[in-house]
Amino acid sequence: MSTPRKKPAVAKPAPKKPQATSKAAATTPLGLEDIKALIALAGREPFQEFEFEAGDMRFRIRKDGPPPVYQAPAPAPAPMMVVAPAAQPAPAAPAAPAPAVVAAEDPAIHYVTSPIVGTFYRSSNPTAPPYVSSGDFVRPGQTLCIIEAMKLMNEIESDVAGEVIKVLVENGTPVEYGERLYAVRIG
Amino acid sequence: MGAAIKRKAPAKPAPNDAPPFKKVLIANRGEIALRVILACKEMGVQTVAVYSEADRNALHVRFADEEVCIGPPPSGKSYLNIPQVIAAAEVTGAEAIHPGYGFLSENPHFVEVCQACGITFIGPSAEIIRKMGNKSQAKATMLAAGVPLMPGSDGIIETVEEALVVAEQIGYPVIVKASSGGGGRGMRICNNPEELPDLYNNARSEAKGAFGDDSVYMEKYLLEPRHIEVQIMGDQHGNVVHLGERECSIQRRHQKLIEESPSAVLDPALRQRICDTAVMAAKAVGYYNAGTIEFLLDKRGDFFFMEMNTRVQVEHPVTELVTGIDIVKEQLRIAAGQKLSFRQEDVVQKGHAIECRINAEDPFKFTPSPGRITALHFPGGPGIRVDTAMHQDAVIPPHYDSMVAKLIAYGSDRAEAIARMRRALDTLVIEGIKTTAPLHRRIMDHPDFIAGTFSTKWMETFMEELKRNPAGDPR
Repeated sequence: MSTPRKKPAVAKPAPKKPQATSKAAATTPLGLEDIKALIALAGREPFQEFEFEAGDMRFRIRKDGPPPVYQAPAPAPAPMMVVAPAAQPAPAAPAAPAPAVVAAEDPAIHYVTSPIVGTFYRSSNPTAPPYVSSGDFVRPGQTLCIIEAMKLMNEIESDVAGEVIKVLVENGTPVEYGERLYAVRIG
Repeated sequence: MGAAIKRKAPAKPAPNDAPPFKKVLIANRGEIALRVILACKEMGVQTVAVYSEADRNALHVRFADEEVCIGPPPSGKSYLNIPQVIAAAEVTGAEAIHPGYGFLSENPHFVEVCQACGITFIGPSAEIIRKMGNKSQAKATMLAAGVPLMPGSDGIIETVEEALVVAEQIGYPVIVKASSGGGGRGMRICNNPEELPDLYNNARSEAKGAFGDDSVYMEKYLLEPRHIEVQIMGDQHGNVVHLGERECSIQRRHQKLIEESPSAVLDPALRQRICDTAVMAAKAVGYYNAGTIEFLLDKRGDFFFMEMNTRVQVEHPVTELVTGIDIVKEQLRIAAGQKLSFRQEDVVQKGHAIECRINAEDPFKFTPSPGRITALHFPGGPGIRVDTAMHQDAVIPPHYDSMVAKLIAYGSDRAEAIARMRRALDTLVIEGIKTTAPLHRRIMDHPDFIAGTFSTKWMETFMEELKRNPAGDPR
């Protein structure tokens, strides 16, 4: 979300207070036992990957990959998309199964980008549920969100079939042309 | 620590120095976008840059306070895309849009959309742009205001037969021009009735292709004319002043290469007449904000209205240097509804300024030379101003205008300005692409240029000279 972000020279560079992992864990509604149970459940069931989100907390369990992984409340996608020197986080994989870095350019991941400049809304109106959330399967042509520009509500449709693995923009924030909105695992 | 150096307390800003806007979006790219950003920075106005994917690393994006990508590289999908530009203003909360020159700057529809969305357009009203933008209509307006017009057709010429009749009345040579034209496209010069039918048809089809409008008109073609234009500024309270003239006769295919102020050929009486006429023309349409009235001046000192540009001009810096007035800052104040910050009697042309447009082109063949700038050094020193958005490793995209920099030299008189321009060109380094700098360097040494004896046809003969004597870069 690089849109109306002030330059570091002008504004404080703090892109949202990054809540410390431990603190997030402390405020999570789930206890250690609950998490253990979920891991066990994921192990038994035939899925490859399991993602859970509640409040500030989110974690993902992936089989045969690195061990189950805990992710701090993704502090918005801001740091990923800082415009300046097109530096992608290259060192994705090799070493330790560190705090789950979503493989930056996984060819199986498709990014739905914004075709226009405007304000991003996940639902058709403030009280309606979001069109899609992480874990939903979408098909081409399915409405994913609304982008408001010049008082017009533009429905943005998925251009692929697959599973939404991440919503990259917060509801109600401005987006620019070409900005990544959703990460979809094609399939 | 020793004795403290006594300093004057910084002057308190006058009350009307309060920023005219909180935040301005610049709907342009390149040097003019940067020029507007610089003016905003001086005034304490926040800036929003918009950019296409080809300009992600451009300086106007870097130096603005906020930036919004509005589309892919083709300008039709980005810089000319009105909904995208307006949406960018809305999401960033910009109160006003500066259009620069080119792109949306003279698009009355865009002005109306801005108005409908509650955004101030930094320029004149849609109505004025419409009146002056269509050349046939502009001429009718000027005729009514008593501004001298070139002898020519009364509006659009529909058929070859009509063209032949009008040309006979005006007297050859004549020029056929596109109504919606500009940049030399849709124009043909005819010397006799034999060649007129073909040239007339060519002009129409070229106009159709370039502007989607094949209406053309005709006027007398002057011999050895000079392009003299007058900078106008007006506010929304009915005040209109001129900032003197600019001489822009060094042009190739109607593209200006060198501009200067003052003109070497205007005596004070003629200057007064031409500038007063420009003010009269601007007042006739209720003009406000910055604008330029272009005239052709013939050998005998008669001048004729050509067109009005309802925006800031590429060559505005030469006027800024000789008058000391910041035209872009004044544009912002006017758009905010303030009165002009100076009166006519405050405007004094002092010294002499010359601008060379440095384009990414082969200096003698004029073929475009896009690419990456591998080494860059801009000249400095007394009296040199460089307006550019270039930087080391900048890539000049093929999608836009080829101008990479404006080199402007100021001197106490014309001779000093030329001397400074020469040494500025000698110490300008742009590697990786070809530029027109060597061409300018040769012009600065040419006896005709030094003497100030040139017309809008001068480049043609100079190019012939170059062919006969094709010595390359004089350095």
